[in-house]
Amino acid sequence: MSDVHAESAENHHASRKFLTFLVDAVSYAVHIRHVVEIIGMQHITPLPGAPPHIRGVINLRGAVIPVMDLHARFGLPPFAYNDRTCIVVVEVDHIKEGLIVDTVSEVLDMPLSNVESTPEMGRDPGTTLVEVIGKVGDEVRLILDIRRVLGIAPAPVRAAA
Amino acid sequence: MFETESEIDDPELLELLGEFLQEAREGIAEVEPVLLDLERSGAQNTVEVANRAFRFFHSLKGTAAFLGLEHVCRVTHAAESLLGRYRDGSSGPLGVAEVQLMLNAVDVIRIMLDQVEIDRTDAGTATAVDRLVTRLTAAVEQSGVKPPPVAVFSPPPALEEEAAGPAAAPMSPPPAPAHPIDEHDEPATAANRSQGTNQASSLRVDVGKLDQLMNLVGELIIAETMVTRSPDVQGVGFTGFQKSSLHLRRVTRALQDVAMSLRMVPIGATFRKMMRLVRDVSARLDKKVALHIEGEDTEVDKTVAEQISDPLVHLLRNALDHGIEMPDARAASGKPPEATLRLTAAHRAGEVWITVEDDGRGLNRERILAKGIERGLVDPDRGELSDSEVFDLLFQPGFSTAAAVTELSGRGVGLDVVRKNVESMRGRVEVTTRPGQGTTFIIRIPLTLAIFDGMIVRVGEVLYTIPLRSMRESIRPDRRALVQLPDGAELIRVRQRHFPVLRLHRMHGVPGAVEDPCLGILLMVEDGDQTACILVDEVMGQQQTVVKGLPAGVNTGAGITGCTIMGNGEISFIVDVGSMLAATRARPTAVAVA
Repeated sequence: MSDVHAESAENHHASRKFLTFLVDAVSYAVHIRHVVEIIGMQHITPLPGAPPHIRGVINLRGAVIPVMDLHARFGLPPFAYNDRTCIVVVEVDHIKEGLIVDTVSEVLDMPLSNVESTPEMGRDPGTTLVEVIGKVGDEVRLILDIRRVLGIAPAPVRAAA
Repeated sequence: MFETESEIDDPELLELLGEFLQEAREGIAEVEPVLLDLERSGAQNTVEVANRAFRFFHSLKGTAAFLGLEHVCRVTHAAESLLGRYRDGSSGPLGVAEVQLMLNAVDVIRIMLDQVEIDRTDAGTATAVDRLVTRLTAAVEQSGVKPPPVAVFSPPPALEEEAAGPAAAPMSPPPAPAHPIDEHDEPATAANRSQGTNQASSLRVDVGKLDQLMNLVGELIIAETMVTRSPDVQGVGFTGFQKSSLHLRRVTRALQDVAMSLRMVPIGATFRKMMRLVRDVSARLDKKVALHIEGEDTEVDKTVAEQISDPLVHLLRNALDHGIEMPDARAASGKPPEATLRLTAAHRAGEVWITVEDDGRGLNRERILAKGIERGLVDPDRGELSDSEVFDLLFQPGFSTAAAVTELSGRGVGLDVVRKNVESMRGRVEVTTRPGQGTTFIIRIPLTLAIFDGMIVRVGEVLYTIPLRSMRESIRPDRRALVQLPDGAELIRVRQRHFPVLRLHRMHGVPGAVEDPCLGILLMVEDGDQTACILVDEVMGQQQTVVKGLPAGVNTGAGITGCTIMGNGEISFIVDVGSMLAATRARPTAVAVA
């Protein structure tokens, strides 16, 4: 790897930039390095036999990628898609997947000092998928562990609250 | 120039090293069957065999010396010295002992090549080489006839010996080791000459580029469909446009055929690798086996030629270990003590059929069935199972009837892996057997892996593509032809025969599909000896289908093996009829209830 590359990768990492979005009025965040692009809602082909939180697949310029509904993934009741609904396309470990979110908020810079690991918060799927909590002023952003969300890494078993 | 015992790191030499490894392996693939053949058929043209083997070792030695691979040089040189005794026939014919030594040399070289590939030096192989060289040298001395000038082999460095000029042409480091160095002192055999012309008119191409070409052809076909079937031009009836699109279609099809043919290689090389396996395994088992290979020229996709190797090894080992009896047992049942193992390949109706056939004891239906019940794979209360259902048990994970776990097989890993490998090539495995007379495994793989003709059908919101080769007919059923069984299974009568009705939407949980078979269409599909009718809402038409893999990390319903993007950008799922029928059979209740 060339020096330029290494440096930019380092900056990238150190920058701790996060894309934040809303799911059921809660603000979540994913690290910007996992985000490929954000696209509007489009026709989703149901994927026969897939688990319920996988809404289906989309044709993203010739690539077929699955799309996950985060409401369903977090165990929330289904919601009606509207014109603010977006698909956040993420990539990790060479797996690309779309995440359906209520709306995309902003890209935030959260320095390392402003994040803390999650306390024991119970077994609600929405929280076992959270990696750390970021603080911006008085507000918090729940930073998702994208591997767990996609089911690449198993969610940890927490003791019942 | 020589950097003995040190790694090769010069980029140019590294490139040469890559070529060297490839050529050496090709050389082994060529020379090993010749040696095995000699060992089997005895002394017919031992001089020619000796010559061919000699040329192999000699050209290997040349390049190895150039690359500073000292130990490779030593082995090849010793082997060459021994073969030198037999090239003019003056030491008599090449015997079994010498052939065995040559095979040992080939084995050692093979190991060295692997090591060189990783370490870029052959330094770690010294001990094995020492042992082999000693044996080869001893054989040279025993070969009786007065040794030619270089026969005395002083162990270590290869370099001095090279300088001393061994038996054949003086070793001049070839400027481009890509070419065999010593044709001049050999009478050009027919094989040689044809090889010469091949070299002139063929070209080595990076496989990555071929894959890229195939992908582009796939994209081109999608683009062509997008243009010619664009909704903008539908029903307008421009004759000129239609003519040109027909022309475009013809050209893309021709291009597709050519691109596809570039990836085709004869299966012979894969088959020849099996010769050694059969020899070694049968020797270890003390069984007498003659391997007959047919259809070596049958061309298959390169991926198939590579991926078929493991399944073949499994099937052959199984046949040798379980299928074929010991010679005395064979004689007792009136069979020739030497068993026949047939490995054949042929093209049949858009498929490649690869068969492994033995004339051993055959499969024991009762024992397999009993084992299946014991393992809980078969419901003991179920009625009579068909032969294919019983033999299908063999392909279940962990299934083995072998009484003892032998070194070779019987651990129950094998046939399920065979099936998985073959299915990954969109193929299937069938087995037939006759008690006491033998077993035949047939591997059927579609000729082309990447593009096929498919029928697009709609079920609810979902589009499926069914390979045309699996389809028989489409039926608009009459209500009187439908039969419902007490257990919920449905049958349809077609020309006095009854076929099961499969509801894709229930298997895959697709909402909004037609429930009443009389309002939809039944597609009769066939796989092997199984036929069923799939209920779909609508048939959309036929289309060249470019296979795309399913996205990673997501589970799909049974029988879906890939997807494809259609001309209008929609996604359709490819159904493999064989695995879908297998899945329904495995869980009959799930289909009826879910």
